[in-house]
Formats: sequence, C-alpha cells, structure tokens
Amino acid sequence: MNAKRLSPDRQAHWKRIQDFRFDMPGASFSFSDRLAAENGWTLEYALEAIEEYKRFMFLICIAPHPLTPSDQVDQVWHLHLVYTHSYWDDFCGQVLERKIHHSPTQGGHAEASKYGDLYAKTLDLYQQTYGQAAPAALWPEGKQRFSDIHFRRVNTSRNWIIPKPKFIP
Amino acid sequence: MNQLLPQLSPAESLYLLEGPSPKFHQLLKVTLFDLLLKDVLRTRTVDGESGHVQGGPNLHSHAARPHELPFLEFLRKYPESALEIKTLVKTIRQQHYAAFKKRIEQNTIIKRFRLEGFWARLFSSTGLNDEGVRAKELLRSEVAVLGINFTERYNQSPDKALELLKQVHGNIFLCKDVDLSILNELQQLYPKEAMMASGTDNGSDITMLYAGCGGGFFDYSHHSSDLDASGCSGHGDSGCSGDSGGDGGGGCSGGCGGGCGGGD
Repeated sequence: MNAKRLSPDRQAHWKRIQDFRFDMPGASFSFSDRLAAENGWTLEYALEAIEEYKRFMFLICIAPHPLTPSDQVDQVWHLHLVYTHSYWDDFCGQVLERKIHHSPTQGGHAEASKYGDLYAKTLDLYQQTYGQAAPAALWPEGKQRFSDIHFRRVNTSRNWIIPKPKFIP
Repeated sequence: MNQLLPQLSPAESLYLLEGPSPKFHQLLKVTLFDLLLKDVLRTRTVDGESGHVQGGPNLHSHAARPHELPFLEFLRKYPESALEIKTLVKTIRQQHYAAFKKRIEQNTIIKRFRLEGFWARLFSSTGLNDEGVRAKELLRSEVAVLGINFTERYNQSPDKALELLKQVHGNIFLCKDVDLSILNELQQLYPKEAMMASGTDNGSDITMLYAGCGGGFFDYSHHSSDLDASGCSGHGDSGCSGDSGGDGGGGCSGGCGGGCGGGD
C-alpha cells in the first residue's frame, strides 16, 4: 500500500493494525499455530492469511458500507473472535477504536446475492487501496468463494480424509 | 587468498564441509545470519521484545539463492511485517530438511562436486566426487585461516577487514575463533556500508544476537531454541477458559460493519 496517499490519521491507524500481535510471547501453541492446525494449512499460509485479515480489517474501517472477506480471511476472523480479550479489548478497543461485528448470512437467494455483491466490492476496494489485486491464493474469485464452503469438523485421529476425484461432482 | 569462500553462501560451504548431512539448524542459522549481514533482513524489536526480523534495504534487490528464498518469500510479499525468528524458522522447518538440502544442491558449484547416482552417494561418506573432496579440503583450509586473517587485517587497517568481509560475507560465521567484537567495531566505523548496516533497526545488534546463539559456530546454546523450534507438541493444545471481566463487546457498531457468509 502506498501509505503516503493516506491521511496522517489513517496512516497511524494502519500502522497500529500492522503492529498488532496475534501470537503471544512464550506461547508454545500460538494463534498462528492454531490457525494452521485447525485449517490444515502450512504455517506460512496461515501467516499470510493473518496479514490479509489485517488488510481486510483496515478496509472495513475506511469503507462506507459492510464488506465480505474470503473464506480464508474469515477463518482468521472466526478464530480471532474466539480470543475475546484480544479481539474486543485489544484489537477493536485499542487498535481499530471501533466495534467490528461479524454477521453470518441468514441464508436464501437475497442473502447470497447481497454477499456476492459485497465480496465484489471488497475486491474492488482492496485493489484501490493497496494498488494491487488481492492475492488469488487467499482471495479466490467470487464464484469459487461461495461454492467452496462445505467444511465440517473432523476428528483426524479417528478418521481418514481422502480427496474426492475431481470428476465426481 | 580465498578461492572458494567468495563463491559460496555459508550454507553451501557447510554442505561441503559437513558431508552429505549437515545439521538442519546449522544450515538455517548461518543462512539467517548471512542475510542479516547483507542487510537483506534486519532484526527488529516489537513491543519491547527483540528476536523479530523484517525486510532490510536489500530485501528485494538481493539475488536470492534457492535455499535463501524460504527466508524471504513471506517478507517480500508483506514487507511492512515483522516475524519472530522462531516463527520464521518454523515455517522453513515445515518444508522439511530434504527439501531444504535439495535447494542447496541446486547451486552449480555444489552440483559439480556431488557424486552422480543414488547408489554412489549412498555408499559414500561425503557424497562428493574426487573434485569435491579436493574442494572440501581447500575450503577447510580457507575457513581455518579466515578468522586469523580477519583479525590480522583489522589490526593493520579496518578497511582491509571490511574488504575481506565483503568477499566472504556470512562465511565469517563458519570460523570457530571469529572475533565478534571486530564486527561490532566495523559496524561503528562504517555505519553507511551496506555490509555493515548489520541488520539492525532499533533491534538487537547482529553480533549480540549471534553471540546469544553461542558465538562459535559449533557451540550453539542460547538462541538455538528459536532455531530449533519445530511446530507444536500436540500436548496442552486443547482447552479454554472464560471470565466476566471488562465489557465483552455488546452493543452496535454505529456505522462500521463486517459481513461474511456463503450462499445458504
């Protein structure tokens, strides 16, 4: 992002978000470790998702309308919401200086259309703000974003996970 | 006169010196310190805590060798960010030792010195061909005199020591008897030299960090826990707690809102 294009207030805001630490010093199982483990991601991918979450949160702060994250960024958000002190007191209270609520879809066609539009707006605003397209590895295009959503919790010590062949719908 | 050292990164030197299986944490350590010395990475203090790295002035311009890329890829994508050294090393360890070693073996000099064929390598104690074995001996003698030469040159003139450092870069850390105080002195004398900006940005000094790792190359102790960190244990990773302190986040956002969700 070209920070010089931002007002001094916004620059300071972005700097605070940048400097926010998700991993507590001394934790042997840190936020990023947990994010990677729960999603089956490499640690590097999890760290990238956290960086994209920071960018997304900054966009929410400057956008005049709600925004929709990619599923990857949403997973970071979900996990952050679980760390309630970190999310509400430190991040929203001290860093963002506003309360950012998370609103899941109510379901139905109207909602699907609403969130599809919001996702497109989010990708546009990302491009405008950061001067580059959102990385596809963490921000898939809209169709994929809203079709790759069939996740569930599986106990991998009792179950095997075998990829389904691509030709089976 | 050094023939081989200027052509090799310290991890590549170590690969030749330590036979077919140099220790992973040693390869990671010398690579990290080489990148700090070249100002590709810088140490940084975050929230009053040292032990973090961020991109240095040469982050993007440095022609990275394949085994250096895992240290740089994340920070090149997110240059504003800082990573704990422990976390950075963990991301590289996840890629596994064999993969990291393969990256080192992509160097054309290393390729030239390696034995061809799986079986030949399996039954060899060094994994090197005849030319490689000779190169290993040459390299060993170059490393053996490097520490002494470095001190001697510094005593003649700091300029000369700096000149030598520019030739061998992080290979200086391969010397058992390297005098780290000279690196500190050079840093004071040449603060504007790229080599001697020495990877600091209000963080800890590279030589102090190195000394914290045990100083001599074969003598790691203190910071090696950062460099040895490898994923999570699986013990104590479950469980949570609640409390009722503070205002937990009720109320409305007043104009700010996030949203998420797929179809239905």
